[in-house]
Amino acid sequence: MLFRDVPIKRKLISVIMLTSSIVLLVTCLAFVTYDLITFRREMIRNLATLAQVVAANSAGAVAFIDESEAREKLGSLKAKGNIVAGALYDKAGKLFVTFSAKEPAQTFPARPGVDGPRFNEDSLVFFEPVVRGGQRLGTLYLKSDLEALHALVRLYGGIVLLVIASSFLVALALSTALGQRISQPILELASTATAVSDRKDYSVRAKKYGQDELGQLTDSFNAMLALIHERDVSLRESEERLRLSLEAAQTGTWDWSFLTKKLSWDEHVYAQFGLQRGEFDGTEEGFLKLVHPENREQVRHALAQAVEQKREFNLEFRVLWPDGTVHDIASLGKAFCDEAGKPVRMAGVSLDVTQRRRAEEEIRRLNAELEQRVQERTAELTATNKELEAFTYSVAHDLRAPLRHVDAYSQIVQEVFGLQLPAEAQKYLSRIRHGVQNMGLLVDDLLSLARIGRQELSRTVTGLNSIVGEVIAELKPETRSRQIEWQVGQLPCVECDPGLIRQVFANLLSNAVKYTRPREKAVIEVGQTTVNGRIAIFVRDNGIGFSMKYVHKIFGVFQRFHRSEDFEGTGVGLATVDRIIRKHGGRVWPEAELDKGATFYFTLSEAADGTDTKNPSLDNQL
Amino acid sequence: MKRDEVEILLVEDNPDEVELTIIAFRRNNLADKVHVVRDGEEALDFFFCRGAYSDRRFDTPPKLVLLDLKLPKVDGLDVLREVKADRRTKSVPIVVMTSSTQPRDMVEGYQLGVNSYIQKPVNFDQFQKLIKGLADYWLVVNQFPSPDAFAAQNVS
Repeated sequence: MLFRDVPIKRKLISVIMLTSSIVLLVTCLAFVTYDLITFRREMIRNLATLAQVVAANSAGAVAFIDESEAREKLGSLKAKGNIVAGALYDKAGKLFVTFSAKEPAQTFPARPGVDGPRFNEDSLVFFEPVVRGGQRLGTLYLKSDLEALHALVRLYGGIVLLVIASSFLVALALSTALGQRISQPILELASTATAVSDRKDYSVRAKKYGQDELGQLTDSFNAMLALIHERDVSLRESEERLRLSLEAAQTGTWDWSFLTKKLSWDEHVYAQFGLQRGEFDGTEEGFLKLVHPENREQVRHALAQAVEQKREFNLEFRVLWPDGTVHDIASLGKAFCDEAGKPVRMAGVSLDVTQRRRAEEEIRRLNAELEQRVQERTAELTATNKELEAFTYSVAHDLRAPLRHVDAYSQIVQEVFGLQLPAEAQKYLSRIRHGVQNMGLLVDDLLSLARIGRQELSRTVTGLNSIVGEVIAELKPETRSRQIEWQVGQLPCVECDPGLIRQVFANLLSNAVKYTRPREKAVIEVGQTTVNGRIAIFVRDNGIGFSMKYVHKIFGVFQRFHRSEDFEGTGVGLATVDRIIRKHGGRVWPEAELDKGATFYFTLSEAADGTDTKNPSLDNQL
Repeated sequence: MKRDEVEILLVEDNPDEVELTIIAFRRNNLADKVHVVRDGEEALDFFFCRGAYSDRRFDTPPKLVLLDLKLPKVDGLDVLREVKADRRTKSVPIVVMTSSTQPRDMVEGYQLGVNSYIQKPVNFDQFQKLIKGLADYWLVVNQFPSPDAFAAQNVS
């Protein structure tokens, strides 16, 4: 097994063991070496000292070549356990006495060597000059064994082995424990990663052991997992939602591969084509055969276009079910390309919109029918209105001639036969003529009211001040004998039918003149104001007013609020005003109080859509 | 009254209207200059000197024609159309007098070349004043070429 493949725990232990062993070994060797060197120096110094002493003692014996003396002197060396041999050489370097501590006898060098110590294989030898009076007499030879040194070496070896062995064990224990600490988080991360990759379970988390780099790594890893988990969950949810919505909408999905030339459907698409799974061969031609013949070319073209131009396919077409019924399908798809930009497949959704189409058609049909009915009704109403107007007009017209005749003949009778008639007959004739005049006015008013309905507006921009001025001038005959204060403010220029607006002012101003008659001093005001953001014109008087209780009746034809002997009138004037204003698309309304006066407001364009002006025939109520 | 002396032609079918109009003229001493025709056809005969009026001459036209619009046989506006379309008759002053004015009729009347358009007032006094005014204007104030001048013009 290669080292890089060894588990991290063992790697750690090996590294620690190796390092600590090498360090220990080197340290021990250094100590032992130092001690041995020191010990050897000590041995040499001791031997040198002994040699000097023995040499000094033996000087006499050497000088006199006294063998026994010399033997005696050497014999004292027996007390030194480590000395194995000793010898004395004379001045000429000739061995003359020897000493051996143990059997067998030692061999001695024939001639003395160089002065000083020398280590041999298993001994230390020393040559010391024997001197007296500054004159060299001979040489002393000592030989010491190395038993002490060897014992020391053995001892050190034992100690070193012991230390290394025990420290190896301690290091092993320590490194195993520490390695556990380091390798555990890594192993944990590794097993978590394995769990994620094997089981695709993104909810697992690695256990964190500390705040070190591994701890941080674990945190990052867990955060990454959390993010992936979150994405995974939301992806699953959105997939689920998509599936549910496709399910709920009965939306089918299809996929058309250009590589395999195969069009595959889900069960919804099969249902939309009225087929069972497997009844469709997956070819384009097979698909087109299912499309209604009238739509076939259109579908083929749209598909080709979508592929060619790499854009969306969005089409509604009809399909022919095996049972012969026709269904509407809405299909939406998109072409997908490979890296080279070549379309490889097309996928999309489809929906059965038959019900929707039918409902839409039904709505269209109903709308058309309704429109038709409205048009018919409108036409009927317009026709009826026209007839009614024509009738009103001809009645008014035909009434007028006999009226004139009655009046004329009555007058002629009065003039020609007046003197012959009793006073009472004359009075009745006056009544007849009075009645006829009133009826004439009424007929004229009705004619003008009917005419407004028949007439098209001819709008021009008109200054209302000039119209009001003219109307006031026309009222002169009635106002000459009265005290009337006219307060005419600045009025706007508006687009209107000047003839009709003149009638409006004529009616409103003559009413104001009429109903202020009981006032000693009449005040009649004409001005403009703003109501709901629109300019409104008003005519205000300080006349007798009326109760707002009857306000809803005031614009009705023939509606009168006062007795005719008090205030003359036909009850058509305000109806005419209302008709004219509404024809302009405006609105007229009064504000009044009994005995305090009345104010009539009108606008000329109330409805922004102008329906009143578009359909003038609809607002005729006469 | 010789037919060529007719100064005022009244085209009116309603006898009451005729009577009252005649009365109004009489009170202005003009009744003897008035001739009445009772429908559109007779009016056209008069204008174009045919039928009962074949002895009339084009060069002695009336000075004033009062034309009602609602007439039997031929409608007033059609009479107006024919008279104003013919160069022999189109210079005759024609005043339409109706009981009530209808804008459409009025517009058409003017487009056909009517000289005046009047609504008869209900009040008889006012009616008499109107008749007097008309007679004063058309018979006295208004100037008209002599028959000779007319004839010369027509020849050329």
